[in-house]
Amino acid sequence: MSLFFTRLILPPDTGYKTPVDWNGCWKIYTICTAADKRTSTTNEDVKCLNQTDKKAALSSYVSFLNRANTGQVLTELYDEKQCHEAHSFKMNEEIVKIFRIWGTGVIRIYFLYLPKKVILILKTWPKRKDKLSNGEKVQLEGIARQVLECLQTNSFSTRVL
Amino acid sequence: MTNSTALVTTNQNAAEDNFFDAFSDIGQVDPFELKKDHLGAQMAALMAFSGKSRSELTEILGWKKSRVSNVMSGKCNLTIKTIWEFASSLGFDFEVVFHTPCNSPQIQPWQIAQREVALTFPLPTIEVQTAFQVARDLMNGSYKALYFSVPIQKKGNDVPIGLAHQSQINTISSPIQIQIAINS
Repeated sequence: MSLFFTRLILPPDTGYKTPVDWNGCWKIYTICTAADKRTSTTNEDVKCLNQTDKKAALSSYVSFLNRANTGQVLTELYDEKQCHEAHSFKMNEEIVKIFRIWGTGVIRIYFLYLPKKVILILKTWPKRKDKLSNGEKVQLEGIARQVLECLQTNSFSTRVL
Repeated sequence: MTNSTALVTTNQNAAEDNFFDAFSDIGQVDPFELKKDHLGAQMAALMAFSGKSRSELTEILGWKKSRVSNVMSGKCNLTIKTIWEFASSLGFDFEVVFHTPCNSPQIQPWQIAQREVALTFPLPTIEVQTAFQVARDLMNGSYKALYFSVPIQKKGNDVPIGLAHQSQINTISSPIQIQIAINS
């Protein structure tokens, strides 16, 4: 599947103004499954949530965007319990690490660090259990592999919408 | 492009710009909650920028670890005293600066530090010199602060690099040395 990426920008009708970039900030991106921002997988993940979890997801993204904009090391901006490595796997002799943020309520945001201070959201899940099931690990790993395979043949910037 | 095609494209762009519509049915976030989270993020960033860990800060402030976490969580209605204690313990002070909602004039210490790094790089002018030119500068006492030497494969006639045409440089194949001098 051909993947594209677009910045995570929350719509103004949420009342939140996505912070302006500066040199050292982290830039959060979401995956699109076609050359159209409306295919954002993060948007689709949120659509599957119930009202309570949607509110928690919004609050989690606000918090994520605010912290990412500071440009500081994310694991220092959150508690260790909140932000840590969730899963790792080997690809082309290199270890790929997937991190997760436990946001508000049951919301967990899973992401990859990419070069040039890019953070790519892989998945947003409402999780009642802390540990990932094997099925969830396989799903996350699959998304991460697709992204990294896409970036082996394309530069990140050429896939940004 | 016809007018109707242009209209469709414009509508599509507008739709794409508002692509994140999953929150459209839950209304706005309380602005005060947004402000609290922003403040929490800034405080956490100050701690990270200062190079202090949560446990170090716990010790310095004499607070419980949970309180330190709460302060930086963005969920608390912080008092001025808490903010002051937190900032002071990291060697910082703070001001209250008012501004319009769409204009944030504040630059934080970590942004200033990044700006200073950005001003330091790229390094000063880089100049390519031949070994002969370097030797000449050394003898004249007008040498540069730093030299990198790059071996180059040389082919054909022995034109010194400094005098060679670009096309000749491209065809050099036997090893000679080029010096890259950095002016401070």
